[in-house]
Amino acid sequence: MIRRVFALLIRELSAFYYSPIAYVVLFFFLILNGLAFWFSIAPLSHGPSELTVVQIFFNKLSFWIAYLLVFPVITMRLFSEEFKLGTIETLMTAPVRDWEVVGSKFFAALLFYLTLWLPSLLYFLLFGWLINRDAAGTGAQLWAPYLLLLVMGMFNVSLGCLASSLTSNQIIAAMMATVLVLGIFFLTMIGYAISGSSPVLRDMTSYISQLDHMDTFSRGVIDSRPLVFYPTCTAFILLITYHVFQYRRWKI
Amino acid sequence: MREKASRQIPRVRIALNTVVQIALAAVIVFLLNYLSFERFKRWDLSHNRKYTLSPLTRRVVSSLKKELKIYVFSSPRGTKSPGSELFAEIEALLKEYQYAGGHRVHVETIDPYLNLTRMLELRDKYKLGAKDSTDNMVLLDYDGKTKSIPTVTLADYADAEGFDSDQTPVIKDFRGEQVITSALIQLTEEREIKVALISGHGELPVTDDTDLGRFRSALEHQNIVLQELRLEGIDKIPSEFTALILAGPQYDLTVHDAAILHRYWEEGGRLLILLNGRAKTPVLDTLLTQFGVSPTKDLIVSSFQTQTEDRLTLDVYTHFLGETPFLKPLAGVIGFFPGGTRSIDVNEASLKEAGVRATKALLPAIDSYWGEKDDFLANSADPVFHPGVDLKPPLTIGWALEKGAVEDQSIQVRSSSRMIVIGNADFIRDECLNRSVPDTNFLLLCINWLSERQTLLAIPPKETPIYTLDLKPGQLDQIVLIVVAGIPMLAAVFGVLVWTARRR
Repeated sequence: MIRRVFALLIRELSAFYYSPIAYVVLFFFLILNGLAFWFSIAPLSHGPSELTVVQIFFNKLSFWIAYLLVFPVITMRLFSEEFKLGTIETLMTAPVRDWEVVGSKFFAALLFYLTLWLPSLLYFLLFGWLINRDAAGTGAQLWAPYLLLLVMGMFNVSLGCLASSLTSNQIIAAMMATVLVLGIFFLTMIGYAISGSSPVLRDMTSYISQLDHMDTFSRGVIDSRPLVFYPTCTAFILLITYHVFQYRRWKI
Repeated sequence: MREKASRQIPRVRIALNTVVQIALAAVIVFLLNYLSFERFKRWDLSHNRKYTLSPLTRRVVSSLKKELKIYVFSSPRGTKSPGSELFAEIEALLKEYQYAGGHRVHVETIDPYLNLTRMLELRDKYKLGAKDSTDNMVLLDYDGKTKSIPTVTLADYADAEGFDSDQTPVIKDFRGEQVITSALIQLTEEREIKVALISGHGELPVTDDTDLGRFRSALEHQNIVLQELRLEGIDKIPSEFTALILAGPQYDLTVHDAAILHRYWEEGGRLLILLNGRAKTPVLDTLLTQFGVSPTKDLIVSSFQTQTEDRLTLDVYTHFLGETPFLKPLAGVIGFFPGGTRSIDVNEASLKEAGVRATKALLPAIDSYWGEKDDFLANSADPVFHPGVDLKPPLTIGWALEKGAVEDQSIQVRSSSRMIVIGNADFIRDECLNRSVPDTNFLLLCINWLSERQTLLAIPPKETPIYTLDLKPGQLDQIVLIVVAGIPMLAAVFGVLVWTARRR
């Protein structure tokens, strides 16, 4: 079974890394991230700040733009392309289980997503090397946002997988993923947007607020709640994706 | 027909099975998240555990019986407005209050510029003043009792004049927790504690805002009111006062004053006596001797080396000693006692006879000092150490005394007399407390111990690390070039290589 999953994962990763599109995505993503980093250190050269470079970087609008827009791009082709090209039929008749297909596609997309973020670590190391000053107050203030990026990424990649499994059109899949990812992101702002909203609503929106979570983790505070929320929701969305994928089987 | 029906049955069963699976999974996910929402854990791995609340705050917040509403009126956009630079710190701090208090603490942030309606609604509800006052402030509402705190009072700034300039003021220490918890204590505590500051002997007046403003304000934050008390014309210290402070009398006590204080001590009184190093007070010295404390007729002088010469100073840096139980939070911390400090000895035999337990509270932090017995201030001569005449180290400059203490901590009856004697009074002045933050905490610990509020330890302000970039010319351009062009180009080159390899 592990060999099958591994073979599927290699197949999916090859599809990512052998495609020039992956490098185009990586190229533009790194430009966006590079700009975000520039915007983070620029204020420090004008005056003192209580925030570390890591804190500023992960809480800037420029970071969130790059972060949110990447999910539709990396997940839109996962299932849609296979449906469109008809290769899904070959896959369905191969001796692999449906959950193995869903899992391998999810993990391949997640690994590619992590590849996108890896160079940003270089920024902070480069900053420390050139300026001779740590970009974060403590080691935890550096790795904690990356831990959160991993779990938040899992959740958003799973949303993208679901969107892609629903249609054979990559554009529609990308649009659906955008709506889901941005919808959930902005939903968390309701508690703050509604004047005098109830404390319960504010607590609930804070529980799922990616902005709040990133603010907390970038300060070097590890909170158990996002570490439960994102993985459980990821598992749930992947379960739905699995059933949507299976639906194709009993439609045939 | 029958064939079609038999084909539909598995589909319905599969569909039902799917719905049940998804519903069950949804329930499990919901329950797990509900548990996570209710019982969560936070690990503060930041520098100096900056976001960890003190045990006192945790105790105060978790013991709230009613709902506490905290409104933060702050606009992060209005950086020119004093206090707005603290928005991120306050928000992070209040989140910790919220987590510590569970569902009893609710925090709402209102940007007066973006949410004018809500701001006006709350201003009306809480009968707040002019609009400017709600620009940057924290409002606490506990069971209908309210307390407003201007945001700017939550920090010490590196440059007090910072607000006048175009630059954002630099935060030195953030004492938001200290101020907010103190305000919370005021709201939740039933009684107000009154401490008398004895006057009539040239002490600093309680109304003096330039000298005692910071001391008084620190006490007010702990729900302690400082009131002036003249000893002439009274026979007994009024019972409304929890403790007395005698702060650096310039003139000596009268025999009548000494008798009142003696009786007060014998009847379970609480005294903080700060000696004026430059004043001659024989009656006060005699009174202290009766208590078992012997102030020495000296002034502590320290010598230190500069690049060119040896210099002498009357400023004394001290260690707070953790062997005095209430000073444990400050053990090893260094305080600053400027102006003129007398050393204090105790008479072990008379203390034992009177049943008084004495512990050392303060010791000079460096070894190059002595107790100069010559009146060099009057002679205008440089003090010189005379072996056999002047006092050599170690010298103690602060003692804590307790008489009739009950060892069983569970017994809460006020039965003991308590006294703290310090050989310096100048350290309570604003200019000194501004220079040495631990001294304020020391004073608060002293007053809380005297007021039988041992559990109410002072909350130290959190040091706020400041990050600046001292870039050499071209360094920022270098970084930008690498991150915006260099690294993306590397990815592009790698992509081209992969693409070329595949085409072959």
